[in-house]
Amino acid sequence: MTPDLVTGIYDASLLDGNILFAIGVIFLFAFILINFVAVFAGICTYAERKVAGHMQARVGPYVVGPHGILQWLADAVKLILKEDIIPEKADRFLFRAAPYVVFAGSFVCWVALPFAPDLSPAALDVGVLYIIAFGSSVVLGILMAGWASGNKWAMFGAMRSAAQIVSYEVPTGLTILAIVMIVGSLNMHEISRAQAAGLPFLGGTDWHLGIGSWFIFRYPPFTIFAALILYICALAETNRVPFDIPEAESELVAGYHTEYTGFRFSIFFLSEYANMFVVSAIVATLFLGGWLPPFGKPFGDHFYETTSEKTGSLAGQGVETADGWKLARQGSVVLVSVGERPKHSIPLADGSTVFELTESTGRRVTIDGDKIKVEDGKIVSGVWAASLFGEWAPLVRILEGMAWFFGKCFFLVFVMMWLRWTIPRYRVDQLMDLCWKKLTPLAFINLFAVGLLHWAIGG
Amino acid sequence: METSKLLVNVIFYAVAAFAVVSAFGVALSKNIVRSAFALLAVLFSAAALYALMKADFIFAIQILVYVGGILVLIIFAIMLTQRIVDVNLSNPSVPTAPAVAVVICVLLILVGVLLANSGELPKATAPQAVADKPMTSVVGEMLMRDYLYPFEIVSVLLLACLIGAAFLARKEVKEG
Repeated sequence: MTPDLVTGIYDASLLDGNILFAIGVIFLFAFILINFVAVFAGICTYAERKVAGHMQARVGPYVVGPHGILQWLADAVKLILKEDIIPEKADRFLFRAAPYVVFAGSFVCWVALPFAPDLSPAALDVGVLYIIAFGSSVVLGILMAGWASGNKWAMFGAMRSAAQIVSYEVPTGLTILAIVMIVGSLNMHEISRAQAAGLPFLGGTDWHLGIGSWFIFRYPPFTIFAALILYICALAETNRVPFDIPEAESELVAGYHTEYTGFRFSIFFLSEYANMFVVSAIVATLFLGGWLPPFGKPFGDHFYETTSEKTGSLAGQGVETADGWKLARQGSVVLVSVGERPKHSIPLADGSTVFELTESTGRRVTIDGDKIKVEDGKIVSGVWAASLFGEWAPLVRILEGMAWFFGKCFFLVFVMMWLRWTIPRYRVDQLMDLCWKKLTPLAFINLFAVGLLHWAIGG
Repeated sequence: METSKLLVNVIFYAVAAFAVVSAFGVALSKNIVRSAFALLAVLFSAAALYALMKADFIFAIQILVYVGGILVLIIFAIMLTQRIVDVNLSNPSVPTAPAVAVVICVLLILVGVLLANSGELPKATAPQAVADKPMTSVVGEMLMRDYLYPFEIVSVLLLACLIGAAFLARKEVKEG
């Protein structure tokens, strides 16, 4: 398992017997995260209106603060001060519980996001699966809100939303499966890291080819389609335009949150924006390299630390590692094979290396004349950064990773806003048609094609 | 290690108590929709118990399948029935006498099993755990290697169910 910052501190303090400190760490990170979500959602409401304004040749909010930049704070204050109305016909308990269920469903997904190399509040081994699972539990909050409102428009909105989210989970799952198949892990960090490995049909051993080695370009054109399918499904799962039929103002007043006012209403808004970020983060991690930079090597580049090594002679049998790699000379190259299948070939020049990246570990092969050395080791941060920043290098590496990750996510969130003000809304039947008759078969074809290509050239 | 055990125990009892209370909610609520939402709490606490046992894969699957799939379908089915807009829809319950009888029988069986094992429940044999392998890959390898035939048979069964459901739900196309 990848050690990560928060789990590391938490485990260490537990081992010291410092139980209160361990609990404090959890609460501290949860506090930071939840405030970040709130601020992010607030700024998104401002950004959304600014984007809308400029797309329609208006200026958007302009009064509170320079260029209206404090508008979201003013809105938050206004929403908190509004009267909290619970309709007479509502189921009071469920009506009040629903916003929390919706918000909890989208907030817990943030815990597994890979914000930077080895930094996520919990680097779960089942990361992607966890996010998909909890993302789907938002539906229940929406159903709860719709039903408890005691209003048929709210009810219709909730039913539409649930049908839509459940349906679009199918192509989402299938596209994610394609990536999980390539990586062989559900861990978000490993998925990010695996995208530093270079294109298989260009040799695949060079790492940090930047944009070219992201999964979106791994097996073109299929992975490009997969990324598009996933992004379209992400739009549907967050109930965004063009798939916002659960909120369709012209038909359903405001959908499942019709009856909500004041702060409870704003919690629905909060969770919508939190959800937008989560789905963008999934697309960014799975297809756009997560915290990897779009060109060349990361600034806080890694260096290699050997943990075990094995040497052999090329004149004889070559080397065989514990997990079944065979390295032997064949003509003018050293052939690396796993079981019966050849994996790489290394020209017989001095000091050639090949990396096999798994998790944060890598394997390095060094050839020197007739001697061959296979090292297993860890990739640790920082040659460049270490020379420039000394002991601050790990921090620089994390900040750099965060910058790339958030940059990609914010861009995808921006595209969602952009689409909202560009595309008209789908009808209910068109929406289902798109999901079941177009996206799902396409996702199946993609899955099959990616599997085939990976088997043929990626292995 | 002691303190971490204490922490796990505290969380365990809290979650287990929550599960039991919500299970009572499912059984006793007069309102069928409220029962369904209480089931949500039960399923979540079951998932939390899996997480406590470090069964991360089962934990995620529990949420994905039971909460995101089955429970949503249950609530959907309830909501598609008539008079659902009426919030005070009630939940016709089985007469008390047979219900109590069934509950007592089940309780007796459970206590019997517990006593027969002298307080020690049979332990599941853990798969040959590989230290640095995540649980998902262990489960996957077992499904594809040791339990391939059962796995395939179950998937054929599920496929048959799907086809059957699609057959039952389809619209008859009238000829001519």
